[in-house]
Amino acid sequence: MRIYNVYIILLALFFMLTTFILSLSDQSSWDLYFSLYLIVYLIFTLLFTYLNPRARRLSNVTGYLLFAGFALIVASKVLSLLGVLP
Amino acid sequence: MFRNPYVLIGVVLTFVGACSIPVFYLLLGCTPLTALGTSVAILGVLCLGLSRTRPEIPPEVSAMLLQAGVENVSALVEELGLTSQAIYLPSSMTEGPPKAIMPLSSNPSRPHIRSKLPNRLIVTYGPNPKDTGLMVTTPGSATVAMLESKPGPSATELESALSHVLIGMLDLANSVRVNMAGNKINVEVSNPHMEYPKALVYQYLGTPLASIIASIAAEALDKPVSVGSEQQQKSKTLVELEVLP
Repeated sequence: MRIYNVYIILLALFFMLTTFILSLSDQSSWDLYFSLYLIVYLIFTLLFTYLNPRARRLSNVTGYLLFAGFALIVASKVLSLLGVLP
Repeated sequence: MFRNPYVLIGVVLTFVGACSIPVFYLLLGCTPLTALGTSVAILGVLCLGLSRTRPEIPPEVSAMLLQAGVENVSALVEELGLTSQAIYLPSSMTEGPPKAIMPLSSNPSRPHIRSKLPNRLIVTYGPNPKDTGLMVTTPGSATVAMLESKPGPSATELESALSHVLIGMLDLANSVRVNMAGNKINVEVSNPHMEYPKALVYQYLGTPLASIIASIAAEALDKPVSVGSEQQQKSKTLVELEVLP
């Protein structure tokens, strides 16, 4: 399954590149890393349109899980802005 | 348990990622490494998901079944002395999936098939007694069922359908290009990775790759199609199809 290999290898490379660039710019917020991983993931899932329908469905499920994580991060930021969370 | 390599990679990556997050965050307090652990865990979950989409049947068994089928059809073609090029029919012209018909007579002119043909091995397609042919299921017949909807007749729609099947579903090539000019369709498949044993039947039916392309083209155009020529170049295969009236 070469298309799966290309998909996973490209994702791994771009995740590493994102980590490297953010660590070079001295970013210490895990939320920022996670948000950028989500963006990279969504871009590659969109680019690989020729994945078979089942694989696309399963990669979408992973995307929903990551988006749920992102929504939690946003919710915690909003709550801390409102003073509910420290 | 780990016959599927994606399961092994997925389990290892998820485990390493999940274990490294608390270690890097709580013990080392290093955000970039914690984030790297998160990305490893994401890749692990993705690999586990993708592993479920791999076919259960091993590739070696598929190759064995293909070889047995090809050898049987080759023996039949050789025994009947068929020398005519096969004509790929769309599903609208057969009772069931798209199939290919190999005329029994070696008439140089292409047969005109007007009516729907019955789902049999030996069929009569015209008014003359010689208008008889062998109707066989090809590798392309099965792949047409993989399409979510019937492709349209334009070059772009055909290219999209072929890319969906050859790149996404079967993982046989890196890219596909289609050009249409009159009754000719030129399909360029780059880096095709499909190996098959040499067989006599490929001279008349086309290789499995050409067969898949011809079946999808016949279905898209809703017209009979035959494989005109097939050229293997360094990193690509050129298939020329002829659209029949």
